Amino acid sequence: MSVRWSAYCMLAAFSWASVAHADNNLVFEVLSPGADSDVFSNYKGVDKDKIYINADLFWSAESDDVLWQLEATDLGLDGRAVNFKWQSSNDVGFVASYKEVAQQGNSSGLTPFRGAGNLVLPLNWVPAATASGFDTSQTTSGFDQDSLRRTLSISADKRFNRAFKLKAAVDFVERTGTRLTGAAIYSNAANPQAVLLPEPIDHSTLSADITAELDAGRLALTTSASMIQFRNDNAQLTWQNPFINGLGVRVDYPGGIGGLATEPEYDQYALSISSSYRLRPDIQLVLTGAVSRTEQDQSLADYSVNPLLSVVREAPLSSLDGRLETSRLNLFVLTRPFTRASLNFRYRFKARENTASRLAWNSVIGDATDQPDIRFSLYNRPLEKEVDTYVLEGGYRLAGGQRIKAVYRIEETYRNYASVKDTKLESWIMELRSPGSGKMQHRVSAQLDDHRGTTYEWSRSFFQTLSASMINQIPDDQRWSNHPLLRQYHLANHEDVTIKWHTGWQPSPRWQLDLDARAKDVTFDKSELGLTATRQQSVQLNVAYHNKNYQAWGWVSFDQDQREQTGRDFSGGIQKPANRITAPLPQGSDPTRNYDIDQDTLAVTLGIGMSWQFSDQIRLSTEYSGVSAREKNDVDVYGARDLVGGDLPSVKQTMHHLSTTLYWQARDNLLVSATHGYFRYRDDDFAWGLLSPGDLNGVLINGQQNPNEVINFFSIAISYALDSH
Amino acid sequence: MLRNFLLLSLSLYVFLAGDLVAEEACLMCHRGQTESFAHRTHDVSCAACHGASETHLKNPMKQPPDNTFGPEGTGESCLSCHEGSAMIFWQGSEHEMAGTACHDCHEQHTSPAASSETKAGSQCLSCHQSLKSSEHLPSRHPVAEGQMSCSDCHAPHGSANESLLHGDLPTDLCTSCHSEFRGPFLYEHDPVTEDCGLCHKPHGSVQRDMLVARPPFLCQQCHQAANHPSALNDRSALLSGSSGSSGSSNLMAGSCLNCHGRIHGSNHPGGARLTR
Repeated sequence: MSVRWSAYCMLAAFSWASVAHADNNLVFEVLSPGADSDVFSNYKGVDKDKIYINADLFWSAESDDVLWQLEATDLGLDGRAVNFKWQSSNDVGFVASYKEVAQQGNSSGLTPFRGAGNLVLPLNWVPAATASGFDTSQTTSGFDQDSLRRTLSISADKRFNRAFKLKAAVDFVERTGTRLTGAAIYSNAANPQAVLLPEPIDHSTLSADITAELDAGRLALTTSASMIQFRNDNAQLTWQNPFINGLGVRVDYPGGIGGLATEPEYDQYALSISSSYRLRPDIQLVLTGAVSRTEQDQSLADYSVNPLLSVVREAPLSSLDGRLETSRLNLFVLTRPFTRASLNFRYRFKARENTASRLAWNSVIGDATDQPDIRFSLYNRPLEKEVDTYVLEGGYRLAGGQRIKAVYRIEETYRNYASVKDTKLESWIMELRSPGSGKMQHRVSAQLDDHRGTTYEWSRSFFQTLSASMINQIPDDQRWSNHPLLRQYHLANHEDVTIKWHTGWQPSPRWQLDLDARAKDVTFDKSELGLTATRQQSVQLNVAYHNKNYQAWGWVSFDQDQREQTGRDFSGGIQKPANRITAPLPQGSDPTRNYDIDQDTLAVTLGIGMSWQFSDQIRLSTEYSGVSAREKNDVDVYGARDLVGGDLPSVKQTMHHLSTTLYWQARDNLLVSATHGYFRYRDDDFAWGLLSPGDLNGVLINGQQNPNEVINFFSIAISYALDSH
Repeated sequence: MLRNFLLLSLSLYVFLAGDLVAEEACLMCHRGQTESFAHRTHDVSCAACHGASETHLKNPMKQPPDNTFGPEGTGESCLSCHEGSAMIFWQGSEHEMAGTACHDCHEQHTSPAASSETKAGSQCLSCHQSLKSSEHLPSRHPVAEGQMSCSDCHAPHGSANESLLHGDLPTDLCTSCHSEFRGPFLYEHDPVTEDCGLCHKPHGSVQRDMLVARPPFLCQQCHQAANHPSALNDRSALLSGSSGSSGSSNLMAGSCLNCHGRIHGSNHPGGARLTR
């Protein structure tokens, strides 16, 4: 039985381990998922309907001086992992590991595009003005959304004496595959024509760090130096325009080409230090600091990849020469004024500096027009942030074992180019833990967070994207992109109340019951447009029973997320790009154009399992888990004649997963197990369901369908126990 | 009979050996207990953790060892050795203040209990049970499959950050795996530089890509600009065979991401709207 497979079945790994009674095992497994799958196989590497031969090896040995451990799992699957550890009695350690993670997305879509970084259409492609005019029978290539992450890690450590230890590690991560990316060709946002592209993923990250640890009595000190190199084999993604946009032959099929930049390569270097000093037995000081520098100087793409467009002005930079500097400082004073009491003060400072220049970029709009007038240049906004946090917390342990904790926190944040320059968060937290009687324990906590911001200046971030001369030419009543009444939710004033409750009850040594409840209520008290309130509630009940030969458990969870959001539809009838002078927008001042979106998501999750040891040789384990989720989006309007309203359809997701394993301890060193699993997943998301590639006029989509999977998987595994150490 | 014999033998041994009680005395009864490699090679005796336990040795059936690591045990005997660099943030940490003991997570007599990803995850969930459901949500990190563990993001022995998170800034932690989104980009998207948690729920979600809400409503929490960003997306925006509606690309398929594909930032000189 594969360990990862067992992990998914949760129960199996523990049951098997308890039966095998050995540390060293060799496992052979034959398994079949019985059907192609996306959801079921995600992260497990069994996406095809075929028979997989799998093997695991667990081996460890130790002498007086050396410990060896080798763990190789899922060797026959995309998701294999090998971990080797060597440890000596003179405190030298070495670990080498290789690991794969297979991420499986929706593979039911199709695409007409061929190629990798340069996507082209088939020679017989018939263009059209809208996607509905395409001959979608030509969208015949599979559109798999999957990726494989391979990680190779090597680390070593050496303790030279009780006081000093040195560690070093190197990791190389490579990720390859294909993902879905949206891209548009447009001259203005009113009539974009977009495609969903199969974008190749091929990037790698090399990281290395070295750490020195010093433990010298009262002083503990850790210093670390690290570097990260990110490399992307794809610098740009281009695609052939499948549309006849009406923008001229230079943009239409077959000559029109669009281009996307991919994630840039960078190097990061970081230094950190963490120290603690015990001033007195009851006072500890902690001081930590870290700085990092991330440099990105990848060559920038041309303003347009479309060679037929006229571009007369060069970009101000050929590469960004970007540098991101982060710094962090923590100072903690941790005290125990009394045996039962603790009083702690914490100060945190975090900063993000972006040294890139703010420049005007005379961009070609949407790979669809000649370079516009220089007045319409847009500026980049190198974002910076500083956060100061002060925390005072006290704890007290009462004679009865109850613990009380109280926390007061202030957090002040400065941001540049943001709608709110300075924000302040004040938090009050009170927590009580009670051991109760010997059979019952309680824990309850309440937290109040008050987020306040300086005057909300909706125009600050917007104006920073334009030149001063352009801003002055825009009439006052049009000087906005985001509506003045909008409060971006993470910057808006809001009050959060969070209450958590836990009760554990052990009526007898064989029974354990736990009840968890959590509620969070957020009120955006000064927001008229945008998010005005959110509520999250969850309740979970866990029950477990065990005796000598029988274990059973079950749990059920209700998780609800509700959001109230208000918007104002102010299209104004025609497209008005933010950086062009147009007539006033009367709809922007018309409250009858408001609408409310009430979002309500409820997920009920259930798990039941049992394990039954029939005899010394036979054990049966079975577990069921299920999810039933329902999402509602109710829409109300305020009277504008052209706004219809009407609730969106409910979205339902259901998942059933039943896994049963029979274990037979054939001999002391031989365990045979047979597993049957039933998996059912269904999703009826209106955003994707029943859409074919040509259904959205403005977007050539891939026509992927909502998953509807029925999987019956089988597995037979033989576990042979090698000599245990 | 056998029990009496063992008790008699042990009492005799203790009487003869006095303070020089060695492992053998303990192992006469606790035969199943072994030591981890690290404890054994560093000569950590039973008494080093459990105390001299003289009363227990003299009357093992009625008197417990000095330190039983019972419900009130806090792990102070562990910390006498395991202090220093690895435990800089332990004092005052959420687990320490909650009274969590070392043996709640670690098994002293074998290899460290939290050494495997699968085991570490199940250990955390034994207390943090409210997160059990998130392991089963359609969009989640691969914790249930054993490909990740809670400790990949959280530092159980304490951290300088909230929620015991690794990383110096909220985004640093996420980009340690999702390194392609670290930037810096020419055009940055504000929440990406703030906190990935503004748009994503790392413990799992019913929305795709672990989003906190469905696009376009998620995007409209911060974007209510003239024209399509402020547009109402209601039933009329759906694909409808009967009415002939083609469906709105603002609501259907990838929603805003149909065009704004570089939502984590763009390094294209024409990428101000994150479409390049």
